[in-house]
Amino acid sequence: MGGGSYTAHDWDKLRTSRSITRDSTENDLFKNKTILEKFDPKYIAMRESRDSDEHPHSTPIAIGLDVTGSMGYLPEKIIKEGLNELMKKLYASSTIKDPQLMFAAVGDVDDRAPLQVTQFESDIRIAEQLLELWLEKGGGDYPEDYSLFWYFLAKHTDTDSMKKRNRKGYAFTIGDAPNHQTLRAADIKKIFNDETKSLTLQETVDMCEKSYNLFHIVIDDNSLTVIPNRTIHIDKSELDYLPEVIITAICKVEGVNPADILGEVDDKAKSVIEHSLKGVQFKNFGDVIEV
Amino acid sequence: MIKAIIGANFGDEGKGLAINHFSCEGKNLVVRHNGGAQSGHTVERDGKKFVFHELSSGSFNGADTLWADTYHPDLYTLAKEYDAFYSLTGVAPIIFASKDTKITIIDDVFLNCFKETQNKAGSCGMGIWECVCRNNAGFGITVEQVKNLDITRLYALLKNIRDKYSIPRLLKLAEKYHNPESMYKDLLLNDATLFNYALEIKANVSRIEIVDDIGELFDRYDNVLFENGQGLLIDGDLDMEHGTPSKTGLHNVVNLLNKHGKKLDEAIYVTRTYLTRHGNGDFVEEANLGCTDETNVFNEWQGDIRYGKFTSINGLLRRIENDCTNIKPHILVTHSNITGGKILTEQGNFDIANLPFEKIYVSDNKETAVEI
Repeated sequence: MGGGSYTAHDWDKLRTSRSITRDSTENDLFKNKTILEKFDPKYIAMRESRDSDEHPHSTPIAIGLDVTGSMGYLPEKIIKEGLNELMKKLYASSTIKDPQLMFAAVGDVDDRAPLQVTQFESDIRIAEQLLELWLEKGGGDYPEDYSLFWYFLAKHTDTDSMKKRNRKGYAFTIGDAPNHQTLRAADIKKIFNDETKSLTLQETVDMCEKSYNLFHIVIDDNSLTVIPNRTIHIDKSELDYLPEVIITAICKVEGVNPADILGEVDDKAKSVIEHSLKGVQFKNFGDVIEV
Repeated sequence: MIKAIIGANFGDEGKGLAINHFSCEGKNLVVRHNGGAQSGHTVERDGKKFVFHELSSGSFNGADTLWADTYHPDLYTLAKEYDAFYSLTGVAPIIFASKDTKITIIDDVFLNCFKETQNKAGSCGMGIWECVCRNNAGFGITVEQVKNLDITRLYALLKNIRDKYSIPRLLKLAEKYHNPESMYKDLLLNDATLFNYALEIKANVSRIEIVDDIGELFDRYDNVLFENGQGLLIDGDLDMEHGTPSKTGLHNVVNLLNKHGKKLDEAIYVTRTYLTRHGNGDFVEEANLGCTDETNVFNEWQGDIRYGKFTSINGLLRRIENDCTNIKPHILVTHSNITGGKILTEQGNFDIANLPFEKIYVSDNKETAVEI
């Protein structure tokens, strides 16, 4: 007895335990075959992004990923190669002040798990929660319901960034389809247990934008605009550059140099960033007041 | 009372037994001050056997542990030992660390294992030597930093060490060995290992309390016992090829005590009645001594333990005298039952009772010692 030295078990643990690598398979990563109550909006009154002694200037950053069937293998790929890198790059740099990440799996209103939402986390422990999401791959109809997540952010998050500093957070939804024009009152009741009227797409966008700089990222369809002036386009073959695209978008709103986080990027990355963000408006998103 | 327990040979002399014996009474603090988690000190108590690596060998007696600034703990493997001890005894040990105590990191272990698989030096594969090299290169990281940094910044610090020190060192070593395929090379180049390692040590460091004033800490105890790792014959100053980078004698003990205005009361050198060596290096092995060892079993890095006789009794006495210059040394001889109370030398057997020490302690079992 006595523990002591390293064994093959330790190498396995360090290589694979609940972290995300490019070699991980879907079965390695996503163990859950049902929605966990802790991520179910029906049981979440409010998600909070709070300042702390360690993180006095929290910046909420919420990323919602389409996990419906039409996305195929992309959710795993985006999580393994995109969100994992995004998370590490954001946390390892102090350019964006005290980032607090939240992830959401966005389905279809008729799915068994239409929406799953993690906590806001200030460190890489968010990876644990990301891996607990259920990739239901339901849906099947077209368009999708990204507005579920916009509604959630508007009505069920409370951030010190807004409350104390009147600074908006960031929200990105990622998917391959347009959004339904209406979020029906019955669906809001069923999914959030909220009594409200039906909301148009523009109404949910406007609600969300009161507290977040909202962008939608469309995969593989350059002709599709989901939110006017705020739709980012990226090809399936370019998803490796998703972290660079998201970080550049945040930096443009913040007015800081993306190189401070990303370093000098290569020509291919520059080209992807340039065409992905073409036509996207970064300023004058409502009233951003610096205090 | 402040006592130092020092191994007189190549290690495996019975230092764990000695610490257990001297911590039986009063409130005890045991100071780990050289090497790191590679040392394994066995203690048997009431039929329970435990090999202590980073916890003090006085833990069965409720002795607390202090990691001095010359000790290099491994916060990853600590959890296994800590949890195993807790499962065995139901006691959660108390561990202190000096503000300047620097940890071994997983990169040290990968580099150590990579080197060992290319060119066996007989090390334990725990990265102590690599840790010392890294610290000397200015890339040290303290227990206190692990405690104070949030996980994000801890990961960033470890990543910086990996990018600026560990990977360049790996590439240099790989070139030296003609770029072999290696699992350890792959592990070092895989960010996930660092990511997970950071999470593990951040969780484990909550078990450690950082101490500012070591002198004040000593004053809280009836006895302070220095638990040396390894033995005088593998001091870094003697054998850099197969030895240990640490000071295995009184050097660290005296320095630390001087720094805090304290004085050593007793230095006890521990030896078996015969010689052993676990790990590579010169050794005249005697196949028919009839010795066995339950702790020092074969391992991938050190191979089998070897048994032999002392060249002469004078050699043993001389190295103790050379190490212990300011105080009269005492001796504790273990395994006396194996040789019928004699020390085995190539010049004949020597009665333990005739050893020229003011105090001689003898152990003929696995748990206790008596003064003769």
